[in-house]
Amino acid sequence: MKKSYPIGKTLARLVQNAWRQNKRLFASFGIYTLAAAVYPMFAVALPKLVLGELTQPAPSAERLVFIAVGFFLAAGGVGALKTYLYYASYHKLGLLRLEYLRDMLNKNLTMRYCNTEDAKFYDEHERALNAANSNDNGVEGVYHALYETPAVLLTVLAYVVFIGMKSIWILAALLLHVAAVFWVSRETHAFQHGLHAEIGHAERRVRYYSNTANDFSFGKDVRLYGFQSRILDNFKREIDAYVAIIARVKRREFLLGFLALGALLLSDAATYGLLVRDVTRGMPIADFSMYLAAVLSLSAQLKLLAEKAGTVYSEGEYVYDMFRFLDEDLGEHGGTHPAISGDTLEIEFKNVSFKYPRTEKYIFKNLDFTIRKGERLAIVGVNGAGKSTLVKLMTGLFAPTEGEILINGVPIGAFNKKALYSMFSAVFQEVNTLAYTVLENVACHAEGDRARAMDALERVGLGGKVRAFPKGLEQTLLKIIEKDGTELSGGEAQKLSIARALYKDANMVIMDEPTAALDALAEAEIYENFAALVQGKTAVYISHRLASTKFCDHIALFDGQGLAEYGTHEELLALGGKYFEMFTVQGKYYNRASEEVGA
Amino acid sequence: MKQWEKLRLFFSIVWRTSHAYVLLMASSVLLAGAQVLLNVLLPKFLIDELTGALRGEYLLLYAGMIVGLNLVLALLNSAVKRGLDEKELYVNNMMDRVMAEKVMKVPFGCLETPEYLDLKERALFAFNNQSAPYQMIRNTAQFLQSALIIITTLAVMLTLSPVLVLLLMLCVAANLFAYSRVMQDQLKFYASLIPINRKYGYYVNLGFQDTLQKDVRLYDMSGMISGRVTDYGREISGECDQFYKKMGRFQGLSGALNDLQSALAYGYAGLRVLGSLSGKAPISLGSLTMYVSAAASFAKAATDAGASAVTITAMLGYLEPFLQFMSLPEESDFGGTLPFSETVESIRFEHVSFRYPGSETRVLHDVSFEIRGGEKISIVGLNGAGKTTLVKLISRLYRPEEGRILLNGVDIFEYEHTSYLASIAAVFQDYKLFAFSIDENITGCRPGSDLVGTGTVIRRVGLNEKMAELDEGVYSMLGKSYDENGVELSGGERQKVAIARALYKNAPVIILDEPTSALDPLAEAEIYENFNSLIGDKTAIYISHRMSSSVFCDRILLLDGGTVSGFDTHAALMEKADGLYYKLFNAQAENYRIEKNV
Repeated sequence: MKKSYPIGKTLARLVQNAWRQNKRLFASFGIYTLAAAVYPMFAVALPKLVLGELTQPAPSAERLVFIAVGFFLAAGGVGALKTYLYYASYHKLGLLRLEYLRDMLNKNLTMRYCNTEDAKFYDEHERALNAANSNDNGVEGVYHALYETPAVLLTVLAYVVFIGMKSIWILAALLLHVAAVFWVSRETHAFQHGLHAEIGHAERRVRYYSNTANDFSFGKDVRLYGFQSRILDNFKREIDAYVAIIARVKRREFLLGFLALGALLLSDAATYGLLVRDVTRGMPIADFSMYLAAVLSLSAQLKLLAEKAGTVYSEGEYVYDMFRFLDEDLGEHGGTHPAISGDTLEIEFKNVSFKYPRTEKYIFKNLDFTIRKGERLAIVGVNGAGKSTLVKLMTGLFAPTEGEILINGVPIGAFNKKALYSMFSAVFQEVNTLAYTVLENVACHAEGDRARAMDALERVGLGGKVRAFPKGLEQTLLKIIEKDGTELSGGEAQKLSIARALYKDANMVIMDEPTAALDALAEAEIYENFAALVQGKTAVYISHRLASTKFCDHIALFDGQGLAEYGTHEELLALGGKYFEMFTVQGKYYNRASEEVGA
Repeated sequence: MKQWEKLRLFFSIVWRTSHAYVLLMASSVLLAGAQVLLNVLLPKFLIDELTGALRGEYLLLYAGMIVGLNLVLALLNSAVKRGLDEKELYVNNMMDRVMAEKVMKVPFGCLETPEYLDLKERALFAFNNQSAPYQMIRNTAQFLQSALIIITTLAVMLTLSPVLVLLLMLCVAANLFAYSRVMQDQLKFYASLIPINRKYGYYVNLGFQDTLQKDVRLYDMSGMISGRVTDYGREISGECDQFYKKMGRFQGLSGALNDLQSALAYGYAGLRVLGSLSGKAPISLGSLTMYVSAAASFAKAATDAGASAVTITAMLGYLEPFLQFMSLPEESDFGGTLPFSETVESIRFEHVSFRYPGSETRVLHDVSFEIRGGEKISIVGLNGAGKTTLVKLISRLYRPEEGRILLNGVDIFEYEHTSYLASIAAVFQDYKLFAFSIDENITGCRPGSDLVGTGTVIRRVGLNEKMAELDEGVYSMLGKSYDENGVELSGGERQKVAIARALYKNAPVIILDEPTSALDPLAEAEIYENFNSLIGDKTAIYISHRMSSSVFCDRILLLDGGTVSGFDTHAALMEKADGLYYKLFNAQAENYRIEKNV
């Protein structure tokens, strides 16, 4: 059984938000409701008036024309008003949606980092995240439905009274039919909901093929290894599987539909039968037409009402999920301790154990280890030893599973999140260049300091390149936003990310494999400039290339179990352990070759 | 492309995708037409009987027919709808596949040209954000349905009076005239919205992009991203504001014109009942009912037709990138007919120059060299020297701008496409694996199709221990994006799978572009040391920033700024102490030299 949600509160909050944002919307809503409620009745009145006139003992052409003109003026006027108001407020409701979308985006950008690496988290909040994605569903779907429903409700009430006074049986049969239609749709919906796990699974698989096959970066491998038919066959198979599940829903809807058809037969038979009988008993033909029109109109309006109410109810649940997501404390604030100013950092791991959320395997167990103030530390190790995890822990992106991390003696959790992040200049292996200006890419803010940005770019050797751009610092990167945007090469992008770190000029520097994409000379350049880049700050340098350890004060070698070796380059070579092994293995061909050449 | 041309192309794709869908669609159009006609014609007889003789059996017959035929139509409709819904889902997903198929068939060069990337992005945007194929098909059906109703109701009304038809047509003409004005605005509106929407979408996606979230937090980028989202959101809203008001005025007017048509129909038919129009025979009340409901259906159909026509035009605009993409030539259209023989005797570059399509800068300039069959060479140079480009040319992913590439003395484009590609196995630095089973990734065939072959290459790249650890071994699905029970391999392990795939292909030429960048020193050394035995007597081309790898190669091709500045052995190149190679090698080597002093 599906748990219900507080629909009243959810709708009230939506309405309050609309009231805060746009009060004029409510005036338009009031007038719209009146106009839209009255409008359908003109179409019911017209046949009654015309046929009434024609069946009078002395029908008059003038009165007939008067009726037609009167109808045109009244219905045309009221109808035009209602339609105009509907359109004029349509996108205003859309704007409310965009604001919610932005709120969710902000939440995603500021919530605790570990959630962003967690596919389950996004699965669990999928409904919330989809609540502001389209005009017809979620927030905006509910807003539109709320705008239109009261008018429909008024019309329906008027018709129900009107037809009920004529014949309770016609009304009853009609209500039965609409109820049957509504029931079929709810039942189908519930059936589909019961399959939602299967459907979601099938959709995800189809989406995978859609994304992969349409992803240009797969192009080389697809061609060279002949994956075309593999992908297309599998893609078709997944589409067929997906359609087969939906076909079950459609089959159910079709079968249940016979019930609605039966009710339709009953309703039509009651309406025509009883009205025809009444005419034979002397009811004017004008009334016959009027009631027939009224029944048709009520049936349409009731279906509309059921549809709108259904939208409010089912889409409202997405909205409720969205509110919950927005209200939940997702760790965007952290503690209250301000950033450390005027000093570099000391980072102490005290008995830290860590495993990634929802996994079993510990990356570290009881790690005790200190990065001293002002020290340049190289972290090396085999693949999977947890080097990058260490960075995520010391920057507060992840919290330790057990134990404590102290920054200058302050527990890392005590820091305000923004303050904490502000203390690190970090460069990662995967570089993100964004479709912003060079200045924004370096400063990471809309209003950057031009001189400082230029200085940072000069220091990483991109000064000349940027000055040569037609728009200099205002040049937009990537071509997706501006056609004449600039694409940087891998090496240039890497340098840009280092410039970003320099511009930030934070208390401590962290570099995680920043030279993987660079050629030997560019790499050597970074190594040589490393001291200048870090300027006496505490610095951590992670690399596969052990040569990089030479310009660091200490080396920490992590193996699969945790910190295995720690010391200076010379100390570790003398130790003759894992570091020695890795260093000699990596260096031996350089040395052998040099010896051969030297000899 | 002309509108008609676009329509034709689109529907030929739909037709090819599913005949049943198109036929069901046509049936639903006919059914809708029949339903309108039925409810226009039959009530006439009932009302005439009610205002006339009031014979019981005829009243029962007419009322019974109305009720019964409506029931039959409803039944047919629900049957057609069932099939249609199913096929609609199928076709919409298959359109995506049609696009995917084309992406895999166009010349590779298109995939790295920003222009085509943009074209594809716009095509997919229309699919994913505008449901363009769905809208297009729906509205075409709606349009045809309206057209059918217009024709039938016009035929009915003409039996009454051409004058009434004329009056109604005038209303429709006025409506269409107003529409044409609004349509210009609407098309302009859509056109201006597409790029803004795209930008808006980019920044929203950026905010949800998982690989960016570290940077977002550590560099406090949230303001910068949400700022753009706010700006473009406002811009969208501003565009909408003006347009929707205009649209509201037009729709209001259009609705009033519909009411005018009702008034005209009732007024005119009423006067005809009264017989007050000279020279015309009076009509019955039943006929009046028939004509006014024909007029009402006509008015509604005319409005609907107009609306669908506009949506169709707009959707054709959205679908244009897709249709353009579908019209691109295919890879197999190029290339020759000569099947490639198994052995490689030489690969020769003759004055090859190349620049990427749409780019100003030459990446390679007058490059000439020759690799002998079975030789192992390393390509060395700075970032941007053209190393990867050169191997892409050999892989026939691009065509040289000038000069020729000869394989065994024959221009590579004279070879037949498939057999040529079969001769090359390449691991690029941005290699991709698929969320298939590991074994499918290696063989490119159905799972379990060649266990012995897979096992051999798995052992040769040193993955056998890892495979033994996995519950399902080589049948494990890679990654969790497709199957939640999939396994996540580390960067180094993935790289090994990619190398295994290349080895499995057993092609006479093997290309490895930065194949060990994700490997730690020990794993890297393992690959290096086995390199020659892995590759055997194949011709091998190797690119790495780690200079130590070139020591293994027979000769080194030194690229500098897109030209060949040396092609010689390691020892010979090291003799030039002022040369680029010497500098590159020593830049890395000196960091390791300390060992000798220990």
